[in-house]
Amino acid sequence: MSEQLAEAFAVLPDYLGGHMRLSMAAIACAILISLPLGILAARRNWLAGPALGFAGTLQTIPGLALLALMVPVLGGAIGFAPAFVALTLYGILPILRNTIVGLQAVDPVVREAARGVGMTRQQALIEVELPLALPTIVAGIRTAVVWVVGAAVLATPVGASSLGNYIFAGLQTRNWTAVLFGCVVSALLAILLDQIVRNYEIAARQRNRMVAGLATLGGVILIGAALAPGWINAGSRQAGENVLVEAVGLEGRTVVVASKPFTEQYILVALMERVLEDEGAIVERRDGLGTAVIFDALANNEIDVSIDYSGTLWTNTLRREDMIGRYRMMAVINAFLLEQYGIYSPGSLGFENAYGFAMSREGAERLGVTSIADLAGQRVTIGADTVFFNRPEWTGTREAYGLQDATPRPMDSTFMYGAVRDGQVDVITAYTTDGRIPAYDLVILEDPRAILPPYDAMILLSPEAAADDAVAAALAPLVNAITPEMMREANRRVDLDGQTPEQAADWLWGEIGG
Amino acid sequence: MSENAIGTDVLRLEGLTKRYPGGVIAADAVDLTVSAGELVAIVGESGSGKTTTLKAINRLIEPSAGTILFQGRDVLALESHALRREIGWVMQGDGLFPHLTAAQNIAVTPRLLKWDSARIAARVDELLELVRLDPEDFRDRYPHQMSGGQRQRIAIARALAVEPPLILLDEAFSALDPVTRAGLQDDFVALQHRLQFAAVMVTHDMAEALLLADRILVMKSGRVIQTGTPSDLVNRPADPYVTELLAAPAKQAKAVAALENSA
Repeated sequence: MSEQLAEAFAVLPDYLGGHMRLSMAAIACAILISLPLGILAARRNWLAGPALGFAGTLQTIPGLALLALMVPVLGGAIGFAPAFVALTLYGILPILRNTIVGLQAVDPVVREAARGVGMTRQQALIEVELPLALPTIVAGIRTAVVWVVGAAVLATPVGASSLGNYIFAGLQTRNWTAVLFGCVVSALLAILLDQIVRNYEIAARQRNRMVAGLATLGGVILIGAALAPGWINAGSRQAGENVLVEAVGLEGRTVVVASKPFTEQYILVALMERVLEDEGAIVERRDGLGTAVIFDALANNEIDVSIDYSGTLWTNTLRREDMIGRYRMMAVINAFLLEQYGIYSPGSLGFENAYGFAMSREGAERLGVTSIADLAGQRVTIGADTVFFNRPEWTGTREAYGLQDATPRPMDSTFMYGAVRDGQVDVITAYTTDGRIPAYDLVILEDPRAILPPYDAMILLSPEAAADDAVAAALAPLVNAITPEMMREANRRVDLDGQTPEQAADWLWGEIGG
Repeated sequence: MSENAIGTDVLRLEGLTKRYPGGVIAADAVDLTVSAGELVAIVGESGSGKTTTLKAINRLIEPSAGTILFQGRDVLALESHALRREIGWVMQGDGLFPHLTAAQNIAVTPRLLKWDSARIAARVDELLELVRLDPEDFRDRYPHQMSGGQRQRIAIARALAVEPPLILLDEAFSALDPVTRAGLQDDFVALQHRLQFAAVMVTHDMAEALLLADRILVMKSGRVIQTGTPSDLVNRPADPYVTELLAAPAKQAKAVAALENSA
């Protein structure tokens, strides 16, 4: 437990710095957009309605979806840019709304007085209307700060470092310490910033410059404390680059490695990070991205290396539903990816992580089930990850084996193993390399008609990374080096023993013989 | 300047008309002349066009037709915000800026005219004395820290700040309680006698007009029904409506007189 906590603290400067840079930039930009727009719209009803409507509509889009949508909107860019744009859009509404409301609420008598004493429109705005609307405007900024700092944890799946890294990775690797740590730090940050802006609000209401000054001091200290470690790290990293003179294959080259949000991917990325760093590369990790995000970013050279599964590529990218043999499938995929995207696969890791219908041994024996075919017509509940029921594997299996009476229960994959063990669901679509299958004594049902496609773990390189033999060469020791048993054991160490993905990767590297 | 300007026209309205889109005529060919040191009251009910006429003078409302001459200059040829800096403006419910202190409120127009700060500070104290508020006590008070009467005194001081030759008052005393109102009215008339500015005040209260004004303009539905001195109006009302307006103050006066006699 304390080891997990120590590890969480070790990466805090990086995650907190990323979180702060992202939120601060988004809030600053939201203010720069909302304030002039609000001033323009406050006296023009034809503009106020549509502007508030647009901002309000953005607000109704779930945060995660808005962030993910920005990736294709920005042409496949991942990392800071899509997160920044989405969070800026998110922060606009409260500031815009309060600017408009605050200005419209200025007493018409006072507005007429401003004209009556001889102010121009602009003087009336700057000297009378804005000062009177200021407390309302600052209250809007305060709301935006809390929203944006909270929503910034969702930047992790689009590839920007944030406190969400703790939460997303922790959820998948069952590291509840990390999840809690991420939640607590982001909540504390939101509360602190909220209090700082609240003092501005008080200062604006009471027209008290000292309170405003103290709030500024607090803000500067907080932002400085959050950002400084990041700068120091960046500085020392550069210094480190200069010290290393030993010429190796990837010396000084930055390689960006991405993972999907589950344990196996975190372990494999840690393993690749290790292998690439041994060759002198500077590895940047983008953890917990969505499958489609990773693929687009890989094609656009935004990331260099990822691991994907043949069955996923077959249905998602090649859009094929027919089934061919495991090795032929990989050959077809390789040719297609190289032809269409310039993405190159130097090989598979040697194991498959397929979907397998799994039941507890006791449940299977009670119902007399050994094959998916035995589930035909049974009223069973099937737990699966959130995407499975939208995939052709599910419709294929349902049709082929007559599973129309089964009830689908989508859930986060990390919870489904416990759910089937405890009898909360009857069947799950387990990942066949998951360490919890043997640990929970689950049995994988046979698939006599071979409906479920193979899922070989394939290394994928971006066009740029593929152009340089050094990356493929560095990763060569991993090709066909990992057996299903080794992967399952590595997963088990993280999911059940509470090891970190890095520790499991070290064990795996030892087994490979590196 | 104000002393030797006595008798000359500070303001002249000729055929002032305000027509709104849709055909409503708020002010219909209003003529008016105001000399230095003179106080003219425009009396009428709401909707009579009295406020429209007043606001057309400093172009808070743009007139549709007619001529407005301020010190012989056509106001429509001037920049409206520059014009307003030359004309004092006192409105109903004081119209002070709630985020500014009394001194800052009074200093607004001098600041717009880029007076230096020493001159402004001296002028603010002078004006506070003029409206009979202790500068030490009131300089740094915000509007919410003053009574209604005190706020209206600050509003008058603000209107007088740059010694304008003309002051416009829009129901300036209406929101005050009777005792405060009477005190402020007396002080205002005394100030005008001293400083000899011209003044146009709009009021719905005929008694106030009779007490304060040198001349009264009675308006109804946008038209001027009668123009004359208070005694002209009382002795020779030109219209039944004028008689009607005079009835209320007359009745009050009689009632008070009867009570005095019975004592």
